[in-house]
Parts: sequence; structure tokens; C-alpha cells
Amino acid sequence: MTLATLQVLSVLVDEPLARHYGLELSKQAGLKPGTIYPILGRLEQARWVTSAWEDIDPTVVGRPQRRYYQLNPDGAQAARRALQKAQRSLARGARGIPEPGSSPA
Amino acid sequence: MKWWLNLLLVLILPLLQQEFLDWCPWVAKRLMACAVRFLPAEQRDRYLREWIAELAAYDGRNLATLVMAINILIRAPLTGRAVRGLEREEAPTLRSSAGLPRFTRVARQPPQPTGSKASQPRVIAIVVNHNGRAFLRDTFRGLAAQTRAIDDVLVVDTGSNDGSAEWARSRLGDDAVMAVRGQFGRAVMSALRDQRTAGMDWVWLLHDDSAPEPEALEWLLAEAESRPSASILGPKLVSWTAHDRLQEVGFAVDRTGRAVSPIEDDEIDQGQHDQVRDVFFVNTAGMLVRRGALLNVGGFDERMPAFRDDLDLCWRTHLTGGRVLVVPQARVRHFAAAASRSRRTRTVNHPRYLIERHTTAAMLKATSLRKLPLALLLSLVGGLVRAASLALTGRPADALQVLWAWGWNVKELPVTVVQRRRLQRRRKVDDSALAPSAPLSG
Repeated sequence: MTLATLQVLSVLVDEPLARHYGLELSKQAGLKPGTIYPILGRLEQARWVTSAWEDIDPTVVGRPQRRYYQLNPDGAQAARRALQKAQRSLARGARGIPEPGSSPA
Repeated sequence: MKWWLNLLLVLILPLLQQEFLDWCPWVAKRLMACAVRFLPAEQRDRYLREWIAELAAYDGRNLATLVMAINILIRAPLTGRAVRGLEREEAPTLRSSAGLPRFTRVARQPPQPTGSKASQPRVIAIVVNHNGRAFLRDTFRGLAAQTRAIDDVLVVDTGSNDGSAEWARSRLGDDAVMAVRGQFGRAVMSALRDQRTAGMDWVWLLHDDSAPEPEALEWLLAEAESRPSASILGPKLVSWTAHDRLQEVGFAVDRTGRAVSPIEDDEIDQGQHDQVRDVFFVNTAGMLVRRGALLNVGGFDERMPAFRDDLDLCWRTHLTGGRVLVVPQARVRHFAAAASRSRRTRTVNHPRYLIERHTTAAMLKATSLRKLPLALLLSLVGGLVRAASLALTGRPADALQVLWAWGWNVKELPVTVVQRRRLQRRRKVDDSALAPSAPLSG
């Protein structure tokens, strides 16, 4: 699992019920616009997220329908586990660095 | 004298800039149309809509939108593999040398003069058929008569309507014939994704109108196994009807990638070319290619229906360190139905157009950045000269074909650039090492 994928997952896990479109999600995850689609494709293929078209009438709103991605329950669990695992291995690598709890927020 | 020039510039530059910025969204949409072509067909509509909506949602300036579009485009091959369910590491068009586990390759490395039967390489023959009823019987006979047994034969039919597919099924059984929409390159790529090719070391490509002589495979394999760096080996192609008429013994290329054959029209074969040589490219008819090497360079460019798809493949193979050899002792009779225009299918009916188009596309992908400006200039000038001379000698339709070929390359540029990036990242050999081919000494 790549760092970028973990970044995306951490945004998704923060609000497991929220729906995101790709650009918004990549902004929150700190990725360059346009770079997130392989990650989302992989997550969707692995059935961690589902996607659906935005429920609007494009002629009324004046913009095309967006594709919204949402974490499903199984995916949320798997994502949390993946993040914890990554955190543990990071913590092991960064022993000398202060714990997250002791550092100022 | 000078003030009006300055005035002109001051007036025109902002206009040009504005014009460029206004074009960005249009260009971005065109790029998206190119990007979705890396995805499986059933996903293209969805992603085209999604990406256009995403671009519309981006509040950046026009230029930034364009950058985002480029980001989407260069990651489109990755997205394609992701939605196909293939992880980056195990993508079959990437670096899967699954058929060649490393230890067997090492085991085969020391040259063994007496052929050790333990590690016999496995060969699958792939015959691509399109309305080849008139030739297929001879082609099959040639395969059956090989002195080196072929491990498996797979016929890929690209929509024949002359009963040849049914005939092939009646001879080889139903599961030996695949039906694929598209042309040669796509047919081969579909065959490579099939389970039957999975455990094979070598792929022997044949056209429906190419009948190998009995010792062809034995000669090709003998050379292949004695030279581990050889990735592609081609036979001597002779005329279908007159066996002593030479057709091809591989090609060299000039600076712009245009093919140069050592053979004159209708040259009679007196053994004058019978020397195993390094060549720049060989025809796909009778081409023996290492399966791992074929997958490593990403296989055939599926945009090329016929003509110089072989040049493109061999060029990319050279860049990744593979050698291309011609083995003239291996003989294959070839009718060259497409080149003689007896195929009569719309897509391959303009050889001149396709040759120009694919030569340029291959050059754009493979030439190193340092040499690209000169190569581009030369091929542009060459194309214009050819078009002009054709037009002046009363063949305006042929002249147009040359210009159309350039038009196609402009239209396809985004896809070409993405493929170029992937190829150049894999490059192991400098352009200067691709010098004119000299005869092999041993």
C-alpha cells in the first residue's frame, strides 16, 4: 500500500459516511489534482469504496454530475486496520521522535 | 520602422495569450478522450463523464486545469490497470516475466553444446487469421511438418466471413481457435492474455498466409537458445508461389526510422543473404519472440492495424536491450496479402498511409529527447518532399495519404506521449548503440 493510498484512506476514515468526489478528496489528502484516480480505481476494484453519480439535474445546476465515492462498512474496517498497521510500522521507525500524544496539536 | 513592429507585438501577444487560455478547456477535454482509451471499453463512458465533471469542478485557472488534465492522462494507464483489478507490480503488460522464473533462466545461462533436454523451451504458435481460407491449409501443413515439435497452436480469428474460422475449428478443435475483434496486434495481445500462453517461453507469430518450411522453427530456436540476448528472431521470407524469390531478410532503418531492405524487387535467392545477422526489424510473419520480452515492452501497439507494427515493436525491444536477428536458414513462404492489397479490408487498404503513420509514431516514441528535434525535422521535411513529388507527378491521392498520416500523429500525440514516457523509463540502451547492423562474426 502506497503512502498516497494511506493518505486517501485516512481522509475517508475520518468521516466514514461522507461522500466525496475525486477532486475534493485529493485536496483533503494533499495530493496533486488529477493523481487520485488510479487509487480510487484500485479501492473500488477491491470493493472498499463504492461510487455513484451525483443526484442532480445538470441543466438546473449548470455543471455536469460528479461521481461520488463512499467507504462501505467492510472497507471502513479494512481501511482502519491498514492505517493502524502503517502507524505501528511508522512508530517503530521513528522511536526517537516524540509520541503523537505529547506533541502540540 | 521599428515602432510599428513593437506596437504589433504589444497588440498581438495578449491576444495570443488569451486565445491560448481559451483553448485550454477544449484541449483538456481532448486529453480526457485520449486518456479513457487506456481503460477497458465498458468503463470509458463513465470515466469520461467523471473526469470532465472533475475538471469543471476545479476552480483553478485555465492553465491549471490543463495541468490537472495532463496529470489524469499520464496516470491513465495506471488507472486502467487498477480498474482491471491488476496491481501495479503484477500487471501482465508490465514486468511480468511470470513464464520465465528467474532460476530457470540462470540455469540455462551456461552455454551447453549438447542440447540438454531437461530445460526444453516451450513454444506456442499463434496464427492470426482473417479470411485466409486460400492459404490456411498450407500454413497448417507447414506447422504440422515442423522438425522441432510445437508445444501448442492457437489460431486467433479476427472476424473472418469466408468459413476459414470454422475450417480451423474442424481441424484443431474448438478451444484452439479464439475470436477477437480487431487487427493483428490486438489479436496477438488477446492471445497473450489467454491461459494457454501462460507457461510458454517463446511465441511464434504467423499470418494466415505464411507457411513455414519444415526446419524453420528448429533453426530459429537453435539461434535463439545459443544467444540469450536475442529477443526477436525472424526467418527469411520467400514468395508464396516461387520459392526462389526473396521477399524479406529483415530491414535496416534510416535516421527517421524509414525501412531499408537489403533486397531488390524479385531478387532471386542464391544464398547471397544467408548469414545470421543483427537487423533493425523483421516482419511479424514467422517472428519468434521471447514471451517475457514481448510483455516487458508492453506488446504490440494496438493502434497499428498493419504495416510497421513490427518496426515499432522491434525498436522498443532494442531500447530495452533485446537483440533482433534474422535467421535465413529458416524459410517461410509468405503471400503478403495485405501489402498486395488483396485483403480488401478498409483498415489495411492504404499501405502508404499506414507505413507513414506508424513509422512516424514509432520514431516519436523511441527516439531519445536529445535526437528527437533533428529526427522530427528530417522526417517532416522528408514527408513534405514525398508529398510534393507525389502531387507534382499527378498522384494527389497518394500525396494526401502522407499528409493524413501526419494528421493522425497529431491527433494521437497524447497517447503517443504517454507510451513514450513508459518506454523511455525502461530504456537501457543509448540511441548511439543502435548503429547500423553489421554481420555477426559467429
